[in-house]
Amino acid sequence: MSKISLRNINKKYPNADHCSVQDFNLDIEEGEFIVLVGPSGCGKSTTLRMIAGLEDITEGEFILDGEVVNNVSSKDRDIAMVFQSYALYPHMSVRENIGYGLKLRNYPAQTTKKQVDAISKDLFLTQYLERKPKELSGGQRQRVALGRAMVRTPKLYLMDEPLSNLDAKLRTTTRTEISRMHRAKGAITVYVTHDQVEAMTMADRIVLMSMGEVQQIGSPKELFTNPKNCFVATFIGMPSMNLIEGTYKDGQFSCPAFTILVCDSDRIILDGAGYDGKLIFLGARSSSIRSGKKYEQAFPDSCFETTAKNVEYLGDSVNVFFDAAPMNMFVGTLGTGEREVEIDEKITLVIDNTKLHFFDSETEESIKFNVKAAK
Amino acid sequence: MSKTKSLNRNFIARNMGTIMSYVFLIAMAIVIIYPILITIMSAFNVSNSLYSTSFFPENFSWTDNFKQLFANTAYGSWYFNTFLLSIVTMILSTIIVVISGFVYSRYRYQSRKTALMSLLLIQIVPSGSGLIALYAMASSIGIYSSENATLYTYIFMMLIYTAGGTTMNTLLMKGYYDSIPRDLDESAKIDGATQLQIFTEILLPLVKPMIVVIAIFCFLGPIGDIIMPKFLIASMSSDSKTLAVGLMGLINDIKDSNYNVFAAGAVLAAIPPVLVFYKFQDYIVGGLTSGGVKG
Repeated sequence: MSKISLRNINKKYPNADHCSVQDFNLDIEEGEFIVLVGPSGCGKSTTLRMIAGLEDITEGEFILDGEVVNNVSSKDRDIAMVFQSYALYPHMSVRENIGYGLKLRNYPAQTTKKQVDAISKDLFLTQYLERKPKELSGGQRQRVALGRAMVRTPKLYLMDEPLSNLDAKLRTTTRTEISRMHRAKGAITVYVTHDQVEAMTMADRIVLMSMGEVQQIGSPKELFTNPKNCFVATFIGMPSMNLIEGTYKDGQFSCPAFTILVCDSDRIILDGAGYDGKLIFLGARSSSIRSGKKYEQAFPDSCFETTAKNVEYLGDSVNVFFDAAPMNMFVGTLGTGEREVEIDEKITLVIDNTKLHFFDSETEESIKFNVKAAK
Repeated sequence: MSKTKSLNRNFIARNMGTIMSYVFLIAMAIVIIYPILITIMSAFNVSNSLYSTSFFPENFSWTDNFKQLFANTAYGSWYFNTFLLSIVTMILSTIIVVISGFVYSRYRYQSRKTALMSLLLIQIVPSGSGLIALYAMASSIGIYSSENATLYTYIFMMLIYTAGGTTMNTLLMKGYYDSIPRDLDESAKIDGATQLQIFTEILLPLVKPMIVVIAIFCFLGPIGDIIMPKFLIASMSSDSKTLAVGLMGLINDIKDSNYNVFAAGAVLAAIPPVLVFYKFQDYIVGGLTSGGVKG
């Protein structure tokens, strides 16, 4: 079992003005599944490639099992990696592809064969073992790439957006497959994706990055319920969190679209932090914007009337989009049994004021985050 | 009646593009094939002038011209000289190009851009313009004053052809290496391969089509060249000539030339290249198109 630490990692490409990765710190415990997530160009793949040894680390230390391995070549780091493009060797059969890493490590041919057979049975590849990669479908190629990594027992697995070339259905099943194999192997996995759904479903801990900087590190639940800043709040969750600027005064948040009462516990925090009479951002997930008598009775002080601009039918729920100046669109998710709504119809919406987030309007940092962290 | 007419007109109008390209292709084929046919026909015609030759041999004979060729000239030596020169050049340049293309494609170092640029620039200078310099070089290192002048001249020429072939072909090869995703190198690296293993086990099998194409280019170069051997081979002995020089000798003199024997020699000389092309035609088409686009 192994542990890895990344200490103050910086990456600056030659001729670049800015660091691609800035002051990256992370300790990974044995067996953890870490997901690096963020929009494209945020430095997540660069970080992964530094862990893999495919990019030089400009500054900082990468510690693997207590040893600084910055200058150890990738082949000696004992890692396995799945590439976005799969990077299968086109001139080798599936069997040779999977067994190549073992062959290079001078495993006896018998052992190699046995292990390749076992892993390909696991991944339903047995009947394709003698084929070349170009004769396989996308999903099969992906499984070969997985098999090539899984056939060995390295210290850590690295995955660079392994699912992004698959269709939606295959993505879901392969996601489960990867989680299962991770549990079976128990080795550290570092997984890079831009898809927050993958991050939420697979990760033990998520590292959310933007512009080369870590925004927040935490479990999926932490990131969802207690985002550190506006970026985290809007990136995690689908549809993304509604943010609206308004004034907080005397326990009330008011913006041009509506005025609502802030719940008591939030009020203590906001008043305590000295935000009375100031501009702040209110964050509300679409799931806490509801409609119907039940909610109107439960939250009588946070109802407002608006016009539905667009309606998305999702089966067991409906997304309602409405104008909320100064922001363009606000979205609420209505469950079944709540009011049915047509486009351009007037509707009374209720905001569940116990589930609100507040952000400083200048720094965009969460006001509640520090208080919660202090507790 | 009028209906069929309009249908015909439609058919022509719709397929105008195809028809035009076929007309063009057939014209091209005639332009290329006609001279070859003439050569082949006259190789089997016993007479002494091209001017009197009709297209089909008048005095047909399978062997006469070939017998004359071997009896009256040092054709065997020419053949041996030429193909030895070609094959050695091919082996040397291919080895160099395969390695240099790899280095230009996969490594980043200080002078890389400058070096690539100079490769491009060097190609602009026609090889003929260096002939005098080459001759001066050859004589200054004492090739012509040594006992084995002919052998050394050939070694000298091998090196010149090898060097000449590497510029353009390095660029072609680099382009082909570039078309192989670096992910493969990285994947192999993580699988535990050394640089040498990445080169020999991953990349070399994948660039095989281009290696074949370049080997053929390098093989053909010396066979067709006449200027350099004529200039550099100082020996008067007929044995020391190359095919191109020797064959040219047969038709050089307007009074004393034998066009039909020349044609026979040309046909024989064409056999190895034709066989090579026939054997590797898939590689040649594949290598040229895919390498060309990226290069």
